Amino acid sequence: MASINPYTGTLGEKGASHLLRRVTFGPTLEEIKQFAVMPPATAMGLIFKNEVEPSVPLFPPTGQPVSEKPLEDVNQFELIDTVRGWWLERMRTGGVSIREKLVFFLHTHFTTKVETVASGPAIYHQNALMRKYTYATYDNFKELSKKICLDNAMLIFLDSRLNTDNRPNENFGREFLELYTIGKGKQVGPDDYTTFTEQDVKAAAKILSGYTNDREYTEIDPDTGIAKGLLIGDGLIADRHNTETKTFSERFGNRSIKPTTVNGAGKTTKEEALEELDQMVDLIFDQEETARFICRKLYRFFVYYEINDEIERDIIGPMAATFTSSGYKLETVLRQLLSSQHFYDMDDATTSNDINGALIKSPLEMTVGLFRFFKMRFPNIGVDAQEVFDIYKGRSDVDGKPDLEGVLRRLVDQGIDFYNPFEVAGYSAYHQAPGYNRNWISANYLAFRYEFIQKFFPNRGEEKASLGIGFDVLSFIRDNVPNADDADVLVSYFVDNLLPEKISDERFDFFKYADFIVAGDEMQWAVSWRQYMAKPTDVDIISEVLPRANGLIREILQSPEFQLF
Amino acid sequence: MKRRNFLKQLPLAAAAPMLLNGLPLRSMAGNDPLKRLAAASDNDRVLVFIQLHGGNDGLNTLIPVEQYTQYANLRPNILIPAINSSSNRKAIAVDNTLPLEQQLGFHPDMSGLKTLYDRGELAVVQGVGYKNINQSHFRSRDIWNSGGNFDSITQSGWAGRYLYHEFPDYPDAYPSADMPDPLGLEIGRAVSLLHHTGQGIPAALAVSSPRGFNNLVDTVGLDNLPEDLVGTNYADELEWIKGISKKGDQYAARLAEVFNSVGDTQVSYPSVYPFPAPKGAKENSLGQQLQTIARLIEGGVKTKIFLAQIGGFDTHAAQVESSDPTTGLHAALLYHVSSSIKSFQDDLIKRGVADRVMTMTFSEFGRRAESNFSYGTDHGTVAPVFVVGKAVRPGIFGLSPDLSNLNNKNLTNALDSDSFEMTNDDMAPNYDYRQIYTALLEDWMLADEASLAATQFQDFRSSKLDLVGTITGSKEAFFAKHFRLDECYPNPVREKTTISYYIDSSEHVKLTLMDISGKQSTTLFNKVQAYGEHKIEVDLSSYAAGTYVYTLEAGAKKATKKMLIVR
Repeated sequence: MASINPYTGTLGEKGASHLLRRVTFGPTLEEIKQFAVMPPATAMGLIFKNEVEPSVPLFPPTGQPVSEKPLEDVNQFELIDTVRGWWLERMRTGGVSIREKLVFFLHTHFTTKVETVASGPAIYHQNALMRKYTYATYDNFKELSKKICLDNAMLIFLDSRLNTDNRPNENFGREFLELYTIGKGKQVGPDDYTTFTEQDVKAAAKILSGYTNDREYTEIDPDTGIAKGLLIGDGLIADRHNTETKTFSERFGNRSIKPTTVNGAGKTTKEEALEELDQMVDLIFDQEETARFICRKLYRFFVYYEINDEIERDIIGPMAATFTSSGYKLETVLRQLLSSQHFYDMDDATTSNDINGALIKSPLEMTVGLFRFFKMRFPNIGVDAQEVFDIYKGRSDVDGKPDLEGVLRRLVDQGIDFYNPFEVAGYSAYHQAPGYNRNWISANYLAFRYEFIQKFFPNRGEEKASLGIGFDVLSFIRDNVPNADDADVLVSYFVDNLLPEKISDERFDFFKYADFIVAGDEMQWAVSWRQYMAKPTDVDIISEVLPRANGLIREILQSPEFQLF
Repeated sequence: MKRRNFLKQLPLAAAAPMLLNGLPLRSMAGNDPLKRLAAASDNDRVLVFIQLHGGNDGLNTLIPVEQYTQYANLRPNILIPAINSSSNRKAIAVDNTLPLEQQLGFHPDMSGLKTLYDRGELAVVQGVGYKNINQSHFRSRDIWNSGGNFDSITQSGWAGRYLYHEFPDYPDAYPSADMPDPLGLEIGRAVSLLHHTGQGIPAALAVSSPRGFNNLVDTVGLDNLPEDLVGTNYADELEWIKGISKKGDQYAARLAEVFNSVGDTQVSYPSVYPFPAPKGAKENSLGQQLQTIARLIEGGVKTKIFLAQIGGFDTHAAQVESSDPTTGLHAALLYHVSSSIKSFQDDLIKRGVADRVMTMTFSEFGRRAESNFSYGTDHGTVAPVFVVGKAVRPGIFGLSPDLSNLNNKNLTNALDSDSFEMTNDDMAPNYDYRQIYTALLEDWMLADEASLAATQFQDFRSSKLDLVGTITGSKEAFFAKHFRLDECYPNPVREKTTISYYIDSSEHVKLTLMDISGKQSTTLFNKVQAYGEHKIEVDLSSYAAGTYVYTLEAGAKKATKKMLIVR
């Protein structure tokens, strides 16, 4: 049986790497070793450490903060690329903190698309809002759910800004119920989805009417200091807010929400409109199913995609209870989950239900994980931000600078159009049954992953990547792998630290002999490597050891095992 | 060390993705372990599906004629001018021979489908849905793809079940000599590949050229899992990745070969919507997918089911340009669908494979009859389906949705199906979507009873729509009703003769006379005429005696008859 009870032993390397792979975009070996000696409780302290909130990135060409309304001639999509690059860079440099993974979780949940929003500041503010609510002082998922209703990017994305008292637009109201809060249950009758009904969609749409986005980004939420949208109307009156009585279905106890005062023109005040929104979110979170729905999403994101009756009873149930009693604190419920016996496969002797290595990596985890494990060198964002952003967004035809392919484009190839998923429910991996994370793998996506890997570990005769990322595989081995002249030591180093589970002897031999050395050449490798260590700049020696090192690592990375985490 | 040898021979081989026409592909067939004994399908017919993602607005696709007033009242801010309006752009009258209650207009940007209708290659099925339509995109899409009811729980797709039955022992027994290709192929942009339901191996196409294939999977030692990992979730995921890689390796070279064995299309596929629309909607993302399918079919691919996709139909806001509701987002999407299908059909004809292909569109649901204030429509119930092919039984199936009874449950306005319970508010369905799928499987793909049972469509056999005719036989009655050229009178002709004919819609009409040798040709009449019966008297006294043929062309329709001039 699955157990949410805490695991109190030390993590060991396996537990540490499991934890860090799930809560970051891929650890370094030093981080794994640091965590290996800790029990989960200690590890949680480091993961949830509240570092200083990052400052707003500047758009290099103008020096203007991306949070502000840009100067006339600035292309919004260039600003958006700056925000996307800035966030990816934070993922890459986030250390052992869960912060960026948690913000990414919130993005996969409260999804928007940059293509529809088409505003750099709005996307930045949305990211800042989600980020804010991952810090201990703000952490409250229910409160965030209220805030998201007034988020400028969301107001644009799901047409909430166009939803008025007259002939409401139901887009946001529906998805708020179906995707963001209570979730949809089994359909049991006409327009009845167990957890809510079409009547509730209509009621929610009316409560959410009358808002618009702020194109100046000067309307600031006093709670967060972050720009937000607003109710339409001069002064105190909410001009376009629906003042009818909104009656919810029996799924919500037939509760009604309405303004207490309506003026002669049939309008109510902005304060009362906001009060209706608060009441609705309270009503939704009063249903036990809401906490369960969010906890299932957390489980699928951090642990495993299949939730059977046992997991629902032993894990989701206790999580939902914790989540609710803590005041919907992500940190509280995640500390419980990530410290549990279940998370470390310590709850029973059965291995068939183990979760270690049982999720397929997203392209982000694959790509950023590669940058992190191999300590690839990026320019310092404090010194040359433009160069860092160019690595992510790509560059062509800039005088005196080499063209860059752009990591964002290579991520699209691999199946993630970052911050721009195909549909309103977000990236399929986080919602599409039955396969969930399996959606990251089609033959095409896999081939593009392997192609990306090959940019850093090329075949003989192939060019290295034009990505602008500094990496020298030989110095990595020299600086990180003691006794690399022993071929088996070298193979073990990468197999042990890159793959989530141990492999068979046959598989080990495959990696060793595929494109590294041929059987019986161990001595030859030892000699070559020692020569390299003695003369690390000798071109002839490099041409002997480099293709072999590339071949070894490439084979390990271009394997099904490496795609799992 | 097979892989190593391979690399030595081809040092430049990379795991580059295979792109046909610049589009990635993936296979739809799954790896359900069901093993069946039925014989593999032995005909060369194929089905092409075009999925309209987001929920297509059926009422602005097919504009009602008899209920136009109700339609205009429900959606004053997005309405398309009626077929008889004086507007420059208005609904295209489709077929005046139909009873008034069945008449409809196509959206003005759907002239491509109108041409196919006139050629007898289009069936329009009005009001398609299912009992208790679910208004969640994701659930409703899963229902259409799974072939189930509103409350079914199923982990497989109907096409997957059908293909497993037809091709026993998939995937292990394939590719085979008889079936060298993926059973199904899904084609689309990289981003759209993420959202297909149903399970199984989306087999896998992963190399840029034949020389680069065989590079996705190194299974050496992979099956030798350490003992305590056998049967774990980790092992399941490994197996999944391995399965996809393997199918990719197996099929990539073959598909590239098939694709490259024939040339590029000789037909033009319109790529840009010519009227105002949001930037993202102006480009046609569907045409290239269909071009690829046409080319693969001519190249001899044995794949049975294709799926192409176009997104953007979730038109909650600004589905029309407020300045001209005949243009904008939804108009552009309909233009792409209509013009691409027309070009696809022409492409198939030019490639000589049109007799083998039937194409169908579908969307997860339609949109609300009443528009919202933001020039859009919220999630609704029924939507129309288009079925295109040489062998389709042409015409309109069912009536326009009843707009006077939007909240009246348990009603049906089907012409030729038993009424079935309708419980959503808003428009009621005429047909269950499986009445169409069953017709296509049984009457087009020639699936037998066992196959339909395996697909779980056996209950729809008795109510399937009569959608499939024969290549020529099903059209005569259709054409007779829509277009007729009579024998001229008198004939033989001494001086004057009268040529009478019937056209079913307002068309540009051209009447030409040619001598039997084909050397001399004269245009007798050449202008737009209203629909109905027409007579033209012509004076042929200046013509030499002999045998002549006269030809009437009206839009896509054409007929020729003989006359004798005597002196």
